[in-house]
Amino acid sequence: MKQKNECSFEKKLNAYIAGELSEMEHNKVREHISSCHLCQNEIRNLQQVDNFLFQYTEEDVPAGLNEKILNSVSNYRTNPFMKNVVSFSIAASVLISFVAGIMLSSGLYAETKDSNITIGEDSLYSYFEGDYDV
Amino acid sequence: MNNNKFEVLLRNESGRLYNYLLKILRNKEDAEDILQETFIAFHKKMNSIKDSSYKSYLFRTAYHKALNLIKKRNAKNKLVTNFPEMEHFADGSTKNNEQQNELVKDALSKLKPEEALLIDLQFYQKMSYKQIAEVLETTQSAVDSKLVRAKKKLIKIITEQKKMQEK
Ligand SMILES: [Zn+2]
Repeated sequence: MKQKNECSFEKKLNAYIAGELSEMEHNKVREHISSCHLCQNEIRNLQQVDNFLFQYTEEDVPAGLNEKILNSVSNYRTNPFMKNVVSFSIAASVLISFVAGIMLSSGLYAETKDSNITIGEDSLYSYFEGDYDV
Repeated sequence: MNNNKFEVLLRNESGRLYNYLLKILRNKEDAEDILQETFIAFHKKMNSIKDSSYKSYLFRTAYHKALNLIKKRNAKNKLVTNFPEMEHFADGSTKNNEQQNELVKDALSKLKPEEALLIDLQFYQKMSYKQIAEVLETTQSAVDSKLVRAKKKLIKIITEQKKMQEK
């Protein structure tokens, strides 16, 4: 009698081991394995793969690499950011003191101070947002 | 705020990604370069990626960048075969970590990069089929059949390695 060397269940064994089958299918495969030498052999092979992969020990990320990455992303985020903050706040403070000066002299300063500052901050943020992806 | 999140993610995930890259590229400098490129690309896109997809984005990006590098290498005819092989532990002595790692890297670099990624995601990252499917932008049943194929290849490769060591 010629021995079969393929089994239709074989393809399900990886999912079976990984616990990826539905409960019904899992039970069906488990029952089948108990009486199929081909599948038993295949399971041993798959376990051999797992044992082989298991011998790998994680290597450490080279010293300073994380910091290097952090620096390189903060370079094109923080630097233009800082430059903008400086130039923008200079411009803004000049403008605010100019406007405030006019309003103070015309007696309007107290009522409009808050709304003025909010507008300034809003445009500051949208400016950064736009700059961010460059 | 986002920079803190980025730093936490970098410190949590860079080790896994670095080791994944080491296994398929078998070269520390290349793994470092691709790791850096991956996180820079991620940082640019971070705002438009859902938190739950960070990890799959990182692995997918690292995979594509590594793949490009492998293609370039192959085009230059600099195949992985000129990397340190395992003849130096044919003496039957107990393998140390470094030698064991070399065997795993040797085996995984003989798979297609996509297969090595699948193996890495399932075995080392302990991802489910569903999560792996997200990384590779494919279906769970495709993940299953590709994993089965990859493991069959690995069985052959491991058997070959054993024969080599016994020589
Ligand atoms: Zn069977």
